[in-house]
This record gives sequence, C-alpha cells and structure tokens, in this order.
Amino acid sequence: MTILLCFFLVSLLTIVSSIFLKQNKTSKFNLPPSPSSLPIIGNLHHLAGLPHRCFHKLSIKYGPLVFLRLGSVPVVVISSSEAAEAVLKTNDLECCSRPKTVGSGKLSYGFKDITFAPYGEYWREVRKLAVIELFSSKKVQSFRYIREEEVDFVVKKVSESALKQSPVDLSKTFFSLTASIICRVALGQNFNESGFVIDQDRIEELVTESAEALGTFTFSDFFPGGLGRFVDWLFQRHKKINKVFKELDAFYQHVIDDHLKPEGRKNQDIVTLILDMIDKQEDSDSFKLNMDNLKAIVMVNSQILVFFISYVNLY
Amino acid sequence: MTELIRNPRVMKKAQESIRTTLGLKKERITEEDLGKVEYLNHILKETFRLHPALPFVVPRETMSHIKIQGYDIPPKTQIQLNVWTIGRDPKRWNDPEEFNPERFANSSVDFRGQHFDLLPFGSGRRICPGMPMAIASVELALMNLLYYFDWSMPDGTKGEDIDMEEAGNISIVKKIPLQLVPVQRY
Repeated sequence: MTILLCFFLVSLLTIVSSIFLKQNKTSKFNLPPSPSSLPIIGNLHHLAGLPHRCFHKLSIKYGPLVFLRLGSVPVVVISSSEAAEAVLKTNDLECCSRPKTVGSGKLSYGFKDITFAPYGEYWREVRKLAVIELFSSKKVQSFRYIREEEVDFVVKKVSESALKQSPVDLSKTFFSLTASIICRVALGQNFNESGFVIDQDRIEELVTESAEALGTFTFSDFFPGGLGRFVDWLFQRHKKINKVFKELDAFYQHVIDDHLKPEGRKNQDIVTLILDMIDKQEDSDSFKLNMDNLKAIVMVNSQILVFFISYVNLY
Repeated sequence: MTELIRNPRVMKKAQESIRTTLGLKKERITEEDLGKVEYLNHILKETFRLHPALPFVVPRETMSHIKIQGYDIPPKTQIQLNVWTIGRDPKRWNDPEEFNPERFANSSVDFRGQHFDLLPFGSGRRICPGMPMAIASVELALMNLLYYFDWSMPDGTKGEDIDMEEAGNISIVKKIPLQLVPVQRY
C-alpha cells in the first residue's frame, strides 16, 4: 500500500515539477551556476553526507556562488569571503530574514525566539533586548563568578584523574562544564546539586536530540504544503521532534514555576530578568513578551551556547 | 584540545606562554588573566578557522531581489554561507589544512564579524549575540587546563592517530570522544 502511494506521489510530482521547470528555463534572471537537477527533488541528491562537505565539493566545481533547488526551495551557497561580504555587509538588510523549518518552528514556539524569528518588528525588539540586556558586557561580567567556579570544579575533577593516572573523557568534560555554566546563567539552577529535576546524562541526550531536531530537515521543509506534510506523516517525521519539544517544554515550565514561587527570583539569572520585564509591561506597550517568548529565547539560545562552547574547547 | 594534542609543538608553546605569563604555582586562574596570553588568542582563531561549530552558520533568507557579483538572487531564497570552505580557501590562507596559530601573529584578522575570512559567529545584523559569553568561557577553561596539567594520549596511542571524523548535520561534533591522560603540574 505504502509503495503504491509513493509511486502515485512521485508520478504526480513529476508532472507538477516538469511544468515548474519549464517556467524556470524561460527565466530572464542571471542565476548563479547550478549543477544539473532532477524532477521533483531538484538538487537534493547532491546532499548525501555531511552538508558542509557536499557544499564544499559543489563550490570547487561551480565557484563561490552556487544555485540549488532543494525540493521546491531555492538556495544559494556562498563559499568565498568576497561573496560573504556582499551578503553580510552590502546586502545585510535585504538578506536579514530566516528560512522556516519544521524543527526550528517547533522548538522556538513558532519563531518567538531571537535566532529563528523572521525579520520584522518583533525580531528588532528581541534582538535589542538580547544585545542591551541579556548579553551586554555588564551582564556577561556579572556571571563571571559562575564561569570561574565551574572551571575550578573541572580543575578539581581533572586533578583526581591525574592522581589515579586515568584518562579523562574531554568530550564529556567540556559538555558538562558548558551545560553547568549555561544552566546557572540562564536558569539559575545548578545541576551538580542534588534535587535537580533531570540528571546530567538526560540533559546531554536532550541537547543532542534537540540539535538533531533543529538540524534535520523534514519533507515539509522542501515541499511546503499538503504534499510535504503527507510524506512526513507517512514517515512519522514529526513524532520525534514533538517528543523532544514536550520534554524540553516541561523542563522549562518547571524552571519558570520555581521562579514564580515566593523567594524564587533571588538569583539574577536570565529567566528572572525576563520575568521581571514581563511584570513591568503595561497594557499600552506595543511590544510585549509572554511565557512562550521566554521559553523560546531561553531554549534556543542556551542550546546554541552549550553546543558552541563545548565544541570549541574540544577542538 | 584535539588540535593541540595532534600538534605537540603548538601545545608546548601554548603551555610555556601561559606559564611564563602567569608565573609559577598560581593558586587560581580567574578572568583577570584573560587576554594576557596572545598565543592562546591565536589558537582560538585557528580553531575557529578550521573547525567552525556551525560550518555554514544559521541560514538567512532574502527579502527582496539582490545582485551578488553580477548574479541575480530572487526574494525568498535561502542563503547558506559555507564558512568551513571560506576558512580553508587556498586563495586566502597559506597551507590552509595546517593547524598553525602563528598565521595570526602579525595579522589583524579577527572573528567578531569585521573580517569575512573568519566568520564563526556570522556577521551583520544577525551576528550571534552570545559571542562575548562564549569567548569568556572558552578562554578561561582552556587556560586552566593548559596551565595546571600536561596532557598525553592513553597508553601507546599517538596524537596523529586521533580520528577526526565529524558527525552531525547543521552543527557538527567530533564523532569519537577525546580521551587524554592528565599529569598535574602545579
């Protein structure tokens, strides 16, 4: 049955896309060079393996700008510093939005965060908030003691291994160092203390799973509309994303509930900061934050930081 | 750390620079000490160049029709910046595959979004706002681990044997965990 359905789907798509491709050939645009594409999937078959390696190979063959069609989504891959400057500096504002994917939409509560929010009034306001309030040099300085304490803790742990002359798993060490720092800075919670809601191994799994949910494409990302949704439903692609989202949401809700208790906001962490802002909002304010914004900002941005810091240290 | 254990010359130089600058038998290294060791900064840049955590940063999307180097790019096109390739461009870097922090010794190239050869955090209006937090944490951790400990590979294995295979998709990680044996110096 499934095979039959797929067959039907493919034939339907071939017809649709052949009409689509014909339109393309008559295009008056001078598009960047492009490898040969297939009906329906476009250039998706060029992305077998790690994406940056695939993009790298394409740039060697076709130059610093390559035009691809991934399903029905047009993509330009930039691979030289001159072209990067033309995008990020000369055309910064014209290129300032973000493409939407199913994973990023789900984990950012419908693009209510800073990283994945499309360009617009909302993004400009949260971006300002991030630069002025959350990551200002004064704020970063105020968390200095947390970074120092957590690094001291690592030095102590490594000393114990040195005494026993036993190897240290640095991948794990850097991950838990970063996760501890970000947990304390963002959530005001220390997961080395007993009584923490989830254990460290589960946090590591969750970070990996959500990175996967953010990074793995679904069919809907390349074939927007009913068709992509149908194939995703066929392969149950959304199930995994929803599962990670539910667990993370419950975790962040727990953290917020703790902050809403009396005495709950004695730490000046990021959650406290945003909750205080929400308290001070007035009905007349045009820009307002709610709990979804709070969760989205904390979830996406702590994710990225945890990942980034542990990665750089390791390499 | 992986590149340092694979390149013993760089590791030795890094540890000597840190230990000479900070002095012997220091009780505790704090953020007061950050920025004092220039060579460590070069190591960070070299790591960003060869191993950007997000090899093609977070994609952007065009909002109107633009022209880049004579080519048309229509609105609603995804822009993927392959900073991994830019960091290894032989036209911009000598011996691009080599881990050589000295290349930054007499260079103004920085990672804060002003130099388009090195873009680990992106650039422009969408540059990563968490950069200062990330840099402080990374530098402090590395400085501590390199000052207080010497590092070697577990019995019999050699640095050059380390499996550098990457895993992941938009973000990449080292596939095999890095295991090293520490020896306490101070």
